[in-house]
Amino acid sequence: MKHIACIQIGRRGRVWCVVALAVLILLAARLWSIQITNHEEYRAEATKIRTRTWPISAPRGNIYDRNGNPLALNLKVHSVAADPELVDSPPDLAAQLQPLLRMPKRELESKLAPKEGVRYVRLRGSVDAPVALAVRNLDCQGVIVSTDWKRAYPRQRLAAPLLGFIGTEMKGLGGIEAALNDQLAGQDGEMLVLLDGRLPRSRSQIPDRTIISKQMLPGSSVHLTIDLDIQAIAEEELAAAVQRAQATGGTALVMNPANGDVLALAAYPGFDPNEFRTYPEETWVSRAVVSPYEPGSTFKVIMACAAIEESVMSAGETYVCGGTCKIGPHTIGCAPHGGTRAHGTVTLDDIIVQSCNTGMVRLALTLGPDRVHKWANRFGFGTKTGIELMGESRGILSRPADLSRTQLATIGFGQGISVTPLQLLSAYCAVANGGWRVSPRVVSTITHATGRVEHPARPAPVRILSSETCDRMRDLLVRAVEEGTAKAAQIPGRRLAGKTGTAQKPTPGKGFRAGKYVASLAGWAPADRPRLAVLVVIDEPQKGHYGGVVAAPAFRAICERSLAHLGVPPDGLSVRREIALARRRG
Amino acid sequence: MAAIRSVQIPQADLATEDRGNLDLTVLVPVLLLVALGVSMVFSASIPMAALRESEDIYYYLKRELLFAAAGLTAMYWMTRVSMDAIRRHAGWLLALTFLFLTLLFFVGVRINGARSWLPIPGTNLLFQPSEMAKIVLVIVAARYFSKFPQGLSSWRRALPPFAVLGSTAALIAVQPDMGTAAVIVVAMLAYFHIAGAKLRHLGAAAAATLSLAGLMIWRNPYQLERITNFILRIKTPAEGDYHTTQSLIAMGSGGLTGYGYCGSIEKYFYLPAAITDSILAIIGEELGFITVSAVLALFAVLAWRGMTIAKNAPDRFSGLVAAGVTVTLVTQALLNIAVVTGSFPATGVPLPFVSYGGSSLLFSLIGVGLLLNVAARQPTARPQQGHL
Repeated sequence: MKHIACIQIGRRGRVWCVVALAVLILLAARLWSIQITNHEEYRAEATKIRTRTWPISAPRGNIYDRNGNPLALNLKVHSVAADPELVDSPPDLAAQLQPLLRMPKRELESKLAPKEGVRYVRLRGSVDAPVALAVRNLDCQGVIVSTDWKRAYPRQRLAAPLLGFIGTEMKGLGGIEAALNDQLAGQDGEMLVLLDGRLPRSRSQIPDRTIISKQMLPGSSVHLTIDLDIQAIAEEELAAAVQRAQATGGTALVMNPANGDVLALAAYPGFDPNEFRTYPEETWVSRAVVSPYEPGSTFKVIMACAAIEESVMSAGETYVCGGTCKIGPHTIGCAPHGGTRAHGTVTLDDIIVQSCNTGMVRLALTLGPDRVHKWANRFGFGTKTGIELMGESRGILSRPADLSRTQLATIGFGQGISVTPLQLLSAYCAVANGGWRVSPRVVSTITHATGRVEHPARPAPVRILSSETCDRMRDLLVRAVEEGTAKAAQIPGRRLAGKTGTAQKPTPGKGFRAGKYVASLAGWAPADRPRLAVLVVIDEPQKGHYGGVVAAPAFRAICERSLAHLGVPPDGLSVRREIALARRRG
Repeated sequence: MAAIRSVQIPQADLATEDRGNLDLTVLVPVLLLVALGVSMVFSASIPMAALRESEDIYYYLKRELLFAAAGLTAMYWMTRVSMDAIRRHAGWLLALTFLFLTLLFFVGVRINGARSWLPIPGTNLLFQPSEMAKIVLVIVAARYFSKFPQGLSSWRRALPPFAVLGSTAALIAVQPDMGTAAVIVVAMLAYFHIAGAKLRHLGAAAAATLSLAGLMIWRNPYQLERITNFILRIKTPAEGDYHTTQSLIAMGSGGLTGYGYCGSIEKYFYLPAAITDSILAIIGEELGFITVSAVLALFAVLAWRGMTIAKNAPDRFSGLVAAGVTVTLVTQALLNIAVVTGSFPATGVPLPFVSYGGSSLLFSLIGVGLLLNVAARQPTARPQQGHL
């Protein structure tokens, strides 16, 4: 059955088939231009719209005391913010957020209201994890919930000036936080995140596509030499002493004389580093490190050591104290409040024990400017101790050529020279430990995120005194406690070495003024096998002003309680005997 | 060549409707496309499926596998059914199609603004009558045109097929599903020409379609926007519409070999209709130019082979059905590829065999079944000379 005039399906079909194939070839060419020729541009465009670089914030290292008690930690906090441009209806969103954030609705509304160029408004700085989750689950457009680290100081005011605090962007601004900021901060990482296309509503990361482009390195943890308990004792007793004397402030310092480890560094008034902004700036610093003062009689120990080492006064030699002496136009008395109190005929030992000013003037003048300067320098005055804290003062020690006769005389009893409490107590440590100058330090170890424990190098002790000088000095300072000016520091059953100081406080431009004193007591305990070197400085006491009155009770309490805490048995009692006594008692 | 592209069953009797030759040149590309489609629907649907309440990432894969199984079964059934029976039932099929298309006005389910789906009672499946209309129009037109082997000599004879086409396209266009309506009109006009319509008939129909399209655009401004966007994008490529931009970024960033299977990022809610109309862009992104051009090549093979089957068909009705099925499938593919490559304004047309969607897959495979049916009965003993 052939139809001559039939429309041929095949022929017309072929025509259309060729048309289709031609279109396919054109489309293939187009495909080539998209996928091969312009591939790089499209890939760049794709990367641009999808890829974001997000920081991975490194947790800051913790700070611990020598026994591993945490002093500074990180808390995970959640914050809620908004992008006002993406918020559909500020009143509706405010109504939804109000019960969760517990903020006034009006405040929320005004924060959410669109403002020109404002893409980020912080709604609430820190919220609990459940609240953060609830806000996130609202799935509201324009609401940003982020998680971050917050620095927390669980012991609040304890050791606050030493620890310091954190400013914005987690940067340490004081104390250890600032000094060891580089180690504590760690290194923030970076991740390349691929975001999905749900624009602009709640874009989120595409799972399993995040690339860590820069590894985050957590901050190193720092173990301090501080003993939390001794620190607490020192702060408590210092506060009590300051309040008792109605003083303006004070500082207490406890060190291990054997190696210079700072066991407690207390300042009063203190502050809470969690809310440092609410405290005056002058409370933020460790005064024992940054604020030099005129030490007064506590400095006599240094001059006396120099005198013994230099043999300026032989053992039998005596000096007659008339109560005052005249240096140029100035009269120097043996009592700081201007009265006279003649010590009579005294030996070098008596000068120390009875804290005779005129005797010390005589010694200083005999030593002369070069030797006074040399010995002050040898003990570490006039230079920084190198403790791991920022803003350390070197004190004020004039060069020998610049020392006037008056100044030389006053240095003998600790006026006309400025030292930091840390310098002074370090010098005492040298006397206590048998003549070795030790470098004070507060950082015991630094534990890195890799697990490596770093023991910061410490300078080797330098012998600056003979052990004979030290033994003699110790006996003198024990006598000072037992029969001299520091009687109030006595602890029954324990031998203590200590020296009081009552310095007149110079007023800038006006010289020394009566009525403003710095009362202090420096020493160590137990006297023969020293475990603690302690310095208590009370600034401008109103009730009483002698170091032996104002500072001695605090010194005594710190020594007594700290020795008990360390388990140091009373002198003359062996452990065995103590156990036997305890057994007998029951 | 014959041995390679067809399996010859011994003692094939050309006169009877037995299985004869299974045309592998059609079957293999189709099966490859279906396999690619199922794999890519899985990959592209993972983000969507994960957002579902069940969080079952296999949700769309399971459904697509179900559709593929149903479609392949129907395809197999179509290879065995008598073409004569189909010809006889063409009227009923057309009536049923019109019924379904009309039902959409009353119980149609609206997705993305178009009321194009009928719920299938007792299931969570939807049925798209416009997909059915594509194949039914082919059958109905084949029946009509096979009566006039010399072609349509008069306007009066040309009227019925164009009227049926016009009313079907109009019912689809008002859903509104301009993409499917456009595919049907373009494919059918080409098909009518192959079947014997004169060029002046086509011209008149094209003019009518364009004026109707103008009316639709006036009614639905978003259609106009798509077209202006398209023109804009040609002028300044960065400005274009979101859909096309994402499609181009997907394909372009894929490059020669792509990011690898399941490596697409555009599927994470950048590219609209990632598992349906835009699936080719995801293929381009994950498997690269190599695979997309292979898809194009497979459709080229189908176009060529489909026309050869039509040419060699044992009777005129079968030949017209084969040609119609081929034209419809290839037109859809071309339009889809043109949209995905940004060569044509964004229009919702699925890629046959590959895009997710039960109705599309089912009726595409039914069409292939008819094609295979015709192919199996063509005389293989001697080379065909074109007409019967």
